[in-house]
Amino acid sequence: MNNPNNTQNPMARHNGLVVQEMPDEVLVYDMDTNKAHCLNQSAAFVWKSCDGNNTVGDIVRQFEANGNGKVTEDFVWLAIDQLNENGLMDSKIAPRFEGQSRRQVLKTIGLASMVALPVIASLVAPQKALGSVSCTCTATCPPTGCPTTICLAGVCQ
Amino acid sequence: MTLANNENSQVALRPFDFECYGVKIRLDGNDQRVIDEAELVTRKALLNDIRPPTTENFDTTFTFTRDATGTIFLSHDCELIEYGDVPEYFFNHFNSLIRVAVAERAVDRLFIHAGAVGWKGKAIILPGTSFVGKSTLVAELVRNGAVYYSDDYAIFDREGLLYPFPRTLSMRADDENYTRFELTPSSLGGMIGTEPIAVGMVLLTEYKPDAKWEPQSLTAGSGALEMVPFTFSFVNRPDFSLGVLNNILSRAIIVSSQRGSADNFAKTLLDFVDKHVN
Repeated sequence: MNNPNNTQNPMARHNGLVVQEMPDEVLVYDMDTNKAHCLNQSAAFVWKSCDGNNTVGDIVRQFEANGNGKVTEDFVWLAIDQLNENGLMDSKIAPRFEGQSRRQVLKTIGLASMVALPVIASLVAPQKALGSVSCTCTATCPPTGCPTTICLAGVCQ
Repeated sequence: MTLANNENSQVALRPFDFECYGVKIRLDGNDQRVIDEAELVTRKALLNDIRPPTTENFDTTFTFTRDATGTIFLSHDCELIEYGDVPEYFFNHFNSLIRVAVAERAVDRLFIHAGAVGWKGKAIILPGTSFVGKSTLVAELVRNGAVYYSDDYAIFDREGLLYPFPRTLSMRADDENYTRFELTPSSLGGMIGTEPIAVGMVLLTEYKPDAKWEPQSLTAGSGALEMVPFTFSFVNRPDFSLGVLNNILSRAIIVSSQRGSADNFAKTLLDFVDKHVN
């Protein structure tokens, strides 16, 4: 696959993030977007390796040298694309697999790899439960902000 | 519940100031009877685990304003959040709000919306929103010998140890209005936890009629992500919250599955814990 970004030295974002190491994973909370992300081991390794000095080729070599298994540059790019989509990269990265479905990409890289593919799971953290919402109701309740979303006797209780 | 008008509006109003889990809260307003009722509700909601505040720098304030028609308006830090003219409903809701206010700000404690029991020295945690059957399952686990810790708010210290918050279990009848009623742990033949314990299992489940128990194991990271929506202080203190979640989950098994009725499922769950939790 041609890669116009081969010469880039990807840089992970650190500002505005809260990072928690978990056994085999890394949790990242983005205070700007209010999203929490769970990076599996492969995604976390690539993210930590994106220091602005390493090239993608360097990251491949470090990944293998760390005993994680043999991978390709596409494998690393798959991680970087996901990190970028989730706002976890500092440098602007052009999508590597533009025009291809995620399924196609995963199939291509997955077949060539014995290593767990990089995966990032995300969700939006709830805002404070005590906000400016009124929890009285006539029939329906707001989706968040009240003890429940069920209107009983005029209150979302 | 009825609240008569103040007979003597010239009497100076006395706010109710207190501290709970390090959170300093003031309840004030324009009607002493409303403030007094709010105090009673607060004491019950927080198991009377409150003390006078160490300073008058309050973390948060609730203000009750009663108008000439009898409608009570509730503002939280100057923002109107509730009103009602049926005191019973109004204060039922306030009961939830005051616990949330403490849960979001508690110092050195993490509150998670979850039922919790102890079983052979380890905790089983059941995170979930209301109406997923937490209290029903907790009650059934207690009937089967588990030790009661909480039916709604599980409280953890920095190390991830679970502390008791043993309110009476808040149940809902299986009728069209989900009528509330309360159960004491002793009426279930159960005991109340007194000591902090480590978590053995986190179960992400909800009741579905005819659901099968098909437990799927989750990693600690995935489990933490699933628990974020139930973690009260997450947005206020993400670093503290994530640290505690890590301490809870890195020592526990995390399982996800729908479940059928609690009376059949409780024993299945305890057998599962016996097999899979050390």
